[in-house]
Amino acid sequence: MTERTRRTAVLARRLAAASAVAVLLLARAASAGQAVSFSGSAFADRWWLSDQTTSKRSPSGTTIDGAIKIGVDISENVTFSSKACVSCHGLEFESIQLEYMPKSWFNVAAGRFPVPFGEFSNRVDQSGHKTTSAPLIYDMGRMAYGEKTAMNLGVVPLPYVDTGVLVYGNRFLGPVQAWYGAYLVGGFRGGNDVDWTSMRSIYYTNSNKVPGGGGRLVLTYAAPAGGLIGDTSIGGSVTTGRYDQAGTLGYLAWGADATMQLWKLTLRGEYAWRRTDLSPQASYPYDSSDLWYKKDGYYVELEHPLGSYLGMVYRVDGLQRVGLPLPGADPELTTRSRITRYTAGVVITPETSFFVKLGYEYWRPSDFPSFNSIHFGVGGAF
Amino acid sequence: MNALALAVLAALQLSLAAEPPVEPDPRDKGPDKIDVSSYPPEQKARYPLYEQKCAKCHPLARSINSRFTSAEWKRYMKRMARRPNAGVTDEQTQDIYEFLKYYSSTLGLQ
Repeated sequence: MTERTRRTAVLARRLAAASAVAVLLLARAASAGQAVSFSGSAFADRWWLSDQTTSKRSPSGTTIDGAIKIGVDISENVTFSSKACVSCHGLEFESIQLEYMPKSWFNVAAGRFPVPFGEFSNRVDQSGHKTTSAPLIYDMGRMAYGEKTAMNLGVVPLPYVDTGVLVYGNRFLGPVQAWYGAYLVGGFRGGNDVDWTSMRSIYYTNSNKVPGGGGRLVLTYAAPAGGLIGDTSIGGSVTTGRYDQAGTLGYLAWGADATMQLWKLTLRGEYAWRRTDLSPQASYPYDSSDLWYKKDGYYVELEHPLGSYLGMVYRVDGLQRVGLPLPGADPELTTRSRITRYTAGVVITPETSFFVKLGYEYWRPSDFPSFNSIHFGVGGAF
Repeated sequence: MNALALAVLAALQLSLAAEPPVEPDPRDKGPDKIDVSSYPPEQKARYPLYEQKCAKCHPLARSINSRFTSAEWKRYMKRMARRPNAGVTDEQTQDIYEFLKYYSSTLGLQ
């Protein structure tokens, strides 16, 4: 069986299973008079790069992001939801989960769900953020030098979707909301370094017998409407596990984030860090002192409306990889490789649920040539 | 040909003249917004809260177009208020719910 045939068969099985589940639930929900909700979004983006060499090795050109979500309230406290996405890697399920929500301070989600890591995980859908591209630390594949032989994507590409159990809840301490969540999941997978493609293209099972896990804590000042200072949050996230089949190579990632609404301005900043073990059996191009590498980065961004139809966004972000390049890596890649990017963008909303995004980016990598890029995207949400 | 064009123009003018007054477009205040100018004062007061809290994570259009009944909003808001970074107190959740309930009633949904 060829790789293509195998992937087609997997895709067909997923589609058939999802369709069957959806039809059964919809039929049951309809007969019981339960609430069924649909939502979704679609986005097509064209990306031009000024440097032709970089363009050829980057996912430039046109890509689409599509998502459709169905939610069924089975009872007052139990909800089923499923979200299917189509993008560069084909069809994938961002969630297939049951949620039991008896109390605001105690809720359980089981199945396949987007793991809460960082503030951007709340806004990962194209309709949820104003830039055309995700921050480098969370980029899932739409970045230059993101190949396995170079930076191998961001720190924790989002949405980070995994299978397991999440327990979450929130409590108010005066006007401050404390949101907390802890989970046990399959964890990242890969051979020597994490293989993000395999996490999305092969069976949704764990790659080893060691579960991954982590948590997130967010404190949010719940501001009244109309004040100068709006909602303000600080948060922290951590996730860890083993990613190879033998369960010997580990990873640990953590992040810190802060957001603030000030009059009509929204300010955000996030930092994320990951340490990843490397295989001692592999032959490295440098004398090895540490069999691991670190990756970290940040973004700061400012958003504000400009009249009723325009939204502006400005962002500076960076990504750094420190440590041994893997065997077979680009010869340009050094033990300290950095990318800094400057972004300015505008979102035009000419019609309810319809938006046009324009973005300009200046990329300044340490090991590769600098270049400019432009995004033009059209999308909508319902 | 000229006579045909004149006839079409005359018909168009007549149809335009006969057109009833146009209802206010809910998008008059811009996209992703609800025109609350005709709403009762207490609902007008709740609108900025709804706008501020719900647009933090998704476009307001998503809720505007949802066409949920009040019972559906009640269940849906429970989910939303429990999301990370939601920052919505129980009182604010109640206020947003009351606003959306009223909005549903303006659409003929109960």
